[in-house]
Amino acid sequence: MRISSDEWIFWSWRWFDLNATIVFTWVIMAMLVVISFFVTRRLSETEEISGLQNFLEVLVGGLSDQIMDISRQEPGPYLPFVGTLFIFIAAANSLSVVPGYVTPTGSLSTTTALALSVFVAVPIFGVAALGIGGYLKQYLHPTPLMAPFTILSEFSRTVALAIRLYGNAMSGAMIVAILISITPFFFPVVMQLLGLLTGLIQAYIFAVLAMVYIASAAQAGQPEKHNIKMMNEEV
Amino acid sequence: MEINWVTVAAQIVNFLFLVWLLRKFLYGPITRAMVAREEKIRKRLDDAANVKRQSEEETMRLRKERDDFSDQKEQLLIAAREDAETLRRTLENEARKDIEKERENWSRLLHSEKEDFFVDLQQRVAQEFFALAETVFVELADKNFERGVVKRFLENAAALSVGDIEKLKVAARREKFRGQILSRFELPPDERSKIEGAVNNVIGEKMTIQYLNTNAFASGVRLRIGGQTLEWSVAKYLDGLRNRLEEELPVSESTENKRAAE
Repeated sequence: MRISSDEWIFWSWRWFDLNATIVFTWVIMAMLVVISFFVTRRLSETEEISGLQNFLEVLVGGLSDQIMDISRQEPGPYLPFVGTLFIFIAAANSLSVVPGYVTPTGSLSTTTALALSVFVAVPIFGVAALGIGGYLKQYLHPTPLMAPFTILSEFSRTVALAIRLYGNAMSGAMIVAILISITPFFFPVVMQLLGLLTGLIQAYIFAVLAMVYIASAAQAGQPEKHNIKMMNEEV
Repeated sequence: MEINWVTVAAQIVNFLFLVWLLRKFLYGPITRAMVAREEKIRKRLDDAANVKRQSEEETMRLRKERDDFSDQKEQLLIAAREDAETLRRTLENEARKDIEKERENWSRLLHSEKEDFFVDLQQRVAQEFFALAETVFVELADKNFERGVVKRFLENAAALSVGDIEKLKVAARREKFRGQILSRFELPPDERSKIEGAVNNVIGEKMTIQYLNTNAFASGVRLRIGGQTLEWSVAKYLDGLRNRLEEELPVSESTENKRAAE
């Protein structure tokens, strides 16, 4: 029994192993791109739209609303990154019901890669929004003494992001595998349904946390302005 | 639980490539389609709002026109009612005046006809009375009655005034002293001689008298010399009585009209 899909190697060349994590990631990528391509190839701008276009519009619209609610900014710059995080993780977790499929998110390598992407994206979006000076100033707030702790928290939250998603995805697959060997029929189905729900929730959590980190970095230089805006909106 | 860093690097590349692919094939087109649709819907909502505003303005305008028309109609009705009331009162007053005038005319006509009736009745009674009296005198007249008449004629001739005598003399001379005596019955010779004596005495000359009988009057004797007459007859008395009655009795309008026509 494989703990991680990294151990399922299809092809190896020198130091590179083409494992199941990469292969299934490609499968997911291909599936998402193909679906998107075929749906968006003939988009309707009227009220008469296809079911898939409707689903994708609901998905993209919902992601945009979530990003706007969290960041209080236009979702345009953040939508591709955060939206892709959610869609990829949700698709990878949802496909776990397919026999023979091993979710890439059950690999610590994948979750680490996603967490590192967020780790790098946060300063990029922060610098893009505030400039290098503005972004670095946040480490001095509220006092320079907090800078080491802030930097440490950034590392720790990245690790937490990776471990959280990995643990949930891997545990779900492991529990289903164990239950199939013990009680073959009913419980594995229930646990798979529960795994679908858990996978969607984890995708949502990962994407929302990534957006919160990015938003906090992008707004770090203008907290007072943001607070005033928030107060005005509440009034 | 170990991390394959080659896989990590590959997954990072995969993820970033997926971000690029989805941005190209999913987010961009979908977002543009949604924005375009929202724009269309917003435009249609704006158009609908414009149409609604225009329809509301049109509704308000039509309502105002309807209210104005209703007010105008009410005012016209009030004016028409007032005019009708005024006309009714005018016509009623005119009708009252006409009726009053007709009633007065009718009353006047009735009174006039009543007066005429009584006047005619009085005149008819008087005429009947004179006709009856004349008939009575005609039926009573005879030789003896004629003697009385001649006597009364002679008394009148004797009692003539100087003026009347002069008029008779002038007429006698103009007629060459010829005259006529008219009586209902033929006078006896003695009576004729008395009359001739009296006439000659009045004229002062010898008169040639011609005696004629006539039914012109009931009873009496009349001397006619040219245009002058001297007589005594019942008819003369009755004429006098008639003249006095006519002076005393009221004259009806029809009688007046007759007189005016005459």
